Amino acid sequence: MGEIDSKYRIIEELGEGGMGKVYLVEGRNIGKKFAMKLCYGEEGCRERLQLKNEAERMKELDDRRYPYLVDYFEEEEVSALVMEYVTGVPMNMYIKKHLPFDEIKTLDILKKLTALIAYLHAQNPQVIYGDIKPDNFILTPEGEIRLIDFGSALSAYGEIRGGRLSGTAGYCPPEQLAGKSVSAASDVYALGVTAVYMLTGADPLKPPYHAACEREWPNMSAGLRTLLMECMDTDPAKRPQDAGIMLRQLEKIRPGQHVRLRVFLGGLYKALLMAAIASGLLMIRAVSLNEIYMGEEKIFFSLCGIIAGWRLFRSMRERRGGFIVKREWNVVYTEKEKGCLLDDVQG
Amino acid sequence: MVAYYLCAYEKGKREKNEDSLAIHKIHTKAGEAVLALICDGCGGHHEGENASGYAVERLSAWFYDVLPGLMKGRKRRVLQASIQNMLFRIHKRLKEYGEEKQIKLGTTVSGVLILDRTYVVFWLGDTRVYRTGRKLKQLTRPHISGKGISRCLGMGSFKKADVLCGRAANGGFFICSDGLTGTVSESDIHGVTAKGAGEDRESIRKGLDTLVKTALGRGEGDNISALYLKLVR
Repeated sequence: MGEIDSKYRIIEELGEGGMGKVYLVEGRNIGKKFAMKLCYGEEGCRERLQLKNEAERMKELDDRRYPYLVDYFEEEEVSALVMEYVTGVPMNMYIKKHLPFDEIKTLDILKKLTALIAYLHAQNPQVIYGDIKPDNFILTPEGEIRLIDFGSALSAYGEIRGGRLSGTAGYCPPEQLAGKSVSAASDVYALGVTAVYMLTGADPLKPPYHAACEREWPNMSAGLRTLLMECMDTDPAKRPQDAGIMLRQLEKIRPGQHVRLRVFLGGLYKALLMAAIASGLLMIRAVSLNEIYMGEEKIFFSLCGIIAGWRLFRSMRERRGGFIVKREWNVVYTEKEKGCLLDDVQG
Repeated sequence: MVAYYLCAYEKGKREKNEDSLAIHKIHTKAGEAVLALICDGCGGHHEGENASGYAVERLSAWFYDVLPGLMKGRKRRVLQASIQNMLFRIHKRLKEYGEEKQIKLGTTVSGVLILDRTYVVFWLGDTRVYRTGRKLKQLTRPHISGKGISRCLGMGSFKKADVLCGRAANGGFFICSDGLTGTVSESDIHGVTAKGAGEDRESIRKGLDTLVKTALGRGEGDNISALYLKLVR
């Protein structure tokens, strides 16, 4: 580590990932702090190749929302990647603290995350991130969301590097879990899972390791519901094909629009019900006084009563519905082998 | 309402822990629901940990995906039928897996499902469920014959689980695998869970750890799993 030691001084360990450890370092010449990923192993081993791949992906990016590449070293038994040190709160911690989010806040965050990925998908060749989850985003003190950790990013047409799956179970789409080629639609799937996590509070990193199913989703605008269902379709061809398309669809959604319509319809049904009750009372009065009641109006008010009564009955049933509002405990202890008999549980 | 839970999950002297354990709690618009499960891979057979783990994962998925929809109507028959149906599907899949790999694998299952103040206890095998409080009452009747366990998932033909329903406002439930009950007596268990023995969580936690250590000290070689649920009004 001669060259690395001569240029940088390690201050503290920041964390550990699949490829190696990440350290906070200081440039000996300039006194500025950076983040350094160190990866030990034989030359040409999978982890060092992945680190080199990460450096190549970062070199191509020219946007302040992504950490810039400072330096990259390869020595006999170690590779090192030095990049901008991004300070802030990891999004997984921010999300956990504020769960569950309402639709407006979810849309706001989702648009920012999608915009970050859309930039990658717009590169030539296209860059597929491959490991979208809240842990890989940072919320800076200025309120900006930045993307970090390009270890899983792929270029061109989604070959899986080194025969090993990248990504995280729970956020990965089925094709990535099955070891098939991934595409920009795979990133779209993971963005959908992140949105559902924010809305429901159900962590996909915990058993049963998938996003909360649609029955557990809270009330939301029809546009967002439809989009999330499309994003999380098991068939990649049915999803928005990249984050840019997803972002354009997100920008068309007006949150809360359905709420106003529902309130209006609710009021209308109540008015119809009142009219039907009033006509019923008038009919009873007319019968008791042996009077002939108005013909056409009787039919109209009866129909109003039937429609309003049906809607009231439906809404009462929905209020008693069993949609999950909150998950409190979710603990499993087992030594079952991962992947064994698992396909049934995912289905 | 289930206030808290405590659990013990100990390998003992075995190489692997063939027990699996789960505890889940959700809040829905129709009320609160808790599922506590212990599954014990059948001893002497292959991949017991995979059998018990699969059963626990499948029942956990059922709890999140199916149960909330059933809580609307609260019809006991529908709920019991759904549980039996899920157990049958687990049994069928374990049998298929065993035939594919030409091995025999099986698991017991004991579960307590609590919906607000109603409980449903279901079991197949010899994992026990007790009702705790002033007295300790065993709710499950183990399915054991001269040849060993007479009912389990994954082996033989499917036999329906026994189901018991009731109402519970206070006290608690204690579920444990045969690894504990083999060497520890019911009076030891009652000593830990009885109302007068200290209702605070910490004292019951220490009592549970002592029970496990006692079982191990008495030469218990099997895996030991236990779950305690405390109910409050």
